[in-house]
Amino acid sequence: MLKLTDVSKVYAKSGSKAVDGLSLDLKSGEIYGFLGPNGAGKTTTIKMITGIITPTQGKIEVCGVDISRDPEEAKRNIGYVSDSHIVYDKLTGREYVDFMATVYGVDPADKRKREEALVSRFRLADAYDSQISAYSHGMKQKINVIGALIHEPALWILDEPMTGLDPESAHELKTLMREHCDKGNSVFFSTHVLEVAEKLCDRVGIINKGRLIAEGTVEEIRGKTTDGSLESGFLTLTEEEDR
Amino acid sequence: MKNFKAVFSVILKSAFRRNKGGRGVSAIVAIVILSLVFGAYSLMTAFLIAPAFSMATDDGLGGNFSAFIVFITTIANVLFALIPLVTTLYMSKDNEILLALPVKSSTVFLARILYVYLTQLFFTLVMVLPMIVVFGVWAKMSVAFYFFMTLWCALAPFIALVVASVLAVPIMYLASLFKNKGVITSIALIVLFTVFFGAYYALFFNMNGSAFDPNNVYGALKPVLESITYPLAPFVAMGRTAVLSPETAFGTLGVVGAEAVNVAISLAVCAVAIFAALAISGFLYRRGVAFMLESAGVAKKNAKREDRKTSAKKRSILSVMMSREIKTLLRNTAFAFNCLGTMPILVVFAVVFSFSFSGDKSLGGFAFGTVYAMITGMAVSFNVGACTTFTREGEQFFLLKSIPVDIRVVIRAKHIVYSLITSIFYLIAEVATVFITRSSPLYVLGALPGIALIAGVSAMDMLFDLRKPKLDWITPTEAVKNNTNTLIPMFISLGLIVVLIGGFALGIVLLPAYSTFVGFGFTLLVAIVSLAVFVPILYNKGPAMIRAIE
Ligand SMILES: Nc1ncnc2c1ncn2[C@@H]1O[C@H](COP(=O)(O)OP(=O)(O)O)[C@@H](O)[C@H]1O
Ligand SMILES: [Mg+2]
Repeated sequence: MLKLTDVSKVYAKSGSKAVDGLSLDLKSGEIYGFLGPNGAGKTTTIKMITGIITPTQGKIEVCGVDISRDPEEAKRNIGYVSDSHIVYDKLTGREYVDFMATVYGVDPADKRKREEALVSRFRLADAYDSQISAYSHGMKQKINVIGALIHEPALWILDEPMTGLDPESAHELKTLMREHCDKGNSVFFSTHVLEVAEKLCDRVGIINKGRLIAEGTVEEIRGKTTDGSLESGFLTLTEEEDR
Repeated sequence: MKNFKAVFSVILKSAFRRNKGGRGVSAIVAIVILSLVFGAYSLMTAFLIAPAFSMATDDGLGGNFSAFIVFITTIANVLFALIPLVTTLYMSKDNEILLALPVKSSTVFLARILYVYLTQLFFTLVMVLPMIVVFGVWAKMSVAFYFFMTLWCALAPFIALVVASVLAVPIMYLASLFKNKGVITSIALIVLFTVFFGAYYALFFNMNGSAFDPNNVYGALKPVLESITYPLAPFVAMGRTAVLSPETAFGTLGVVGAEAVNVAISLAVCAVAIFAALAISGFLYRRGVAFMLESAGVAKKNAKREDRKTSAKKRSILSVMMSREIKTLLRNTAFAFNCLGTMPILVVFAVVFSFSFSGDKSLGGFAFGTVYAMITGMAVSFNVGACTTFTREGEQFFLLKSIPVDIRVVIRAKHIVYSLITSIFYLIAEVATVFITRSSPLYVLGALPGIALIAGVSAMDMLFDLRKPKLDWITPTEAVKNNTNTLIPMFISLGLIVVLIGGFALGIVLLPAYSTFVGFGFTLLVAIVSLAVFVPILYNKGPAMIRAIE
């Protein structure tokens, strides 16, 4: 589904590696939690997968398509929820979703069906025809999610999706992620909040200073610590690395 | 190409749609006002120059004159297209998200170029159409003139885009060598802009005797027109098509043949220009975007380092806020250009006006007063920096509200910065005026009431912006252009010119021997009123106004 082989990124001028020799393999039906402290390289990795920036080295394949070979085809399989708000906030929610559907070439009938389901699920119907700029943070995040799912992507990527969501919305989002995977798709999301990963993920990867320092099921990571919590696993691992 | 329509319409909607959440007038209204102002200005200039055009056609130089118009239009487009081109192509906030979508970068590129072209075209037509009509009617031109001039001027933005996209490369490259790229780019552009306008005004006004005598205008232009035939050959080919008359067009085959060649050359030039503009900037587009995306983070890091430096020096909060204001202004090329670009022009105006008015003996002692009033009025109305200071903060505005600094200090820092910048250029302009009009050195004192007026009106400008700052811009150009917050204060300030001239006129009637000082006194009076009204409001009501914005 998603395969990274020895991917590195050096930002021009900064010189140091923001991502260093990262390899990942994400299977269908899997939720993958990408964990790491601030500045670890999570956003950089996600931006390389989504084609926003190009890796300095290494290969990225989405559904078997090399992103550097055929970027449009690879991107068609991705739904991306970025860590910032929609910039087109002068559009209405409906216009934004229309735009995304057009760009991803979604069949109008499918679009209407999915749109209806998602909008009612997120209770966004009242605000759907008003300008996004008037939405609350949570509503903006929801319309972002609808835009990312309107083409039922095989790979759904979210960058710090839970930040600023109330518990109820966060729960909704998690349910949606689970359902998305149950249809045979995959979810890849980043977070620095551990509880999120603990309950939801089939597999987690821990990244620190650009390097993947541990990977496995939540159970496996727990096993590497004394008290058996993911949190202390996370702390021990990142600390060892810092020494 | 299939996503072109979707991308283009999203770009248009984002640029022109009014923000329903906030207050504020739609960009359309601002554009209409702006085009009325420019159109009127263009119409005035057209009437001044039309007789010279007519003389040139009688002399057989009509083709060259038309060529000259297309050429000037192109040059103006280069200057005005450069910033929108660089900022919309490379600095739009939506570049990231568009890169993540399955849209070819060439599609995004074409949509952006089309957007820049259409905005350039609009302002070109606003400036050029009144001129074409006035010239055409005045010199009794044939239909060919209206048709071809409109066509070539409509294509001029494309020729300009070639030059602009080529210029954008060295500017970005040069800038990348320095730590503060924005600053270098800004300065380079402002110099370019000043040189262009200096040359433009010098050409039209730097003449012996009265500037507005058509004979003199033509006399000064004639050698220029005669000399451009070869250096500007492609433009001359276009100009020739514009002076086609029914006689030549439908006359002997030889003439028709020659004219057909000119049309063909002109079309070829435009086609090559369009192709080259697309090829050059298209080739650089993906790289340029990557360059800008990746260097954004570096700029953030630098900013952090500077914060540490400044806190180590323990400077006063006021001076920290002032230097923050100046740095954010200079680092963003679009901001610096739009806010500071007019400043050197003030000096150019002072020089040009001084020369042309001091030559006019009939004005006598009134010459200095007129130039003084115009320069002072322009200085206060050119203060785009003050008019957009809160708008330019964009999303940072809310950060500004949350930092543990007394918001009054922020207001004071902004007020001092914009009063100071304008005052410096104003002082230079004032000294130049005194020198060129050979007036008494004592007249330099006139700068004092002028500076007081600048401080008063800056406060008014800031209040206008604070009333409804337009914080939701996507490209920096949006924040400073098409903004009613700059237009209304500008109108008011331009009206001040008339008021101030009135002061000098009053002086001539009341105290002829000291008329200039009466004029200064009158200016001081106006300045005191503006200071007394706007400064207290700004400092007392400003903090509450800032708190009210969410
Ligand atoms: N545009 C950029 N230019 C230079 N360095 C950057 C840029 N963006 C991020 N970085 C650096 O790359 C590293 C990883 O950042 P990022 O991927 O944003 O981390 P995370 O998302 O895990 O918090 C950080 O050290 C950061 O400073
Ligand atoms: Mg991040």
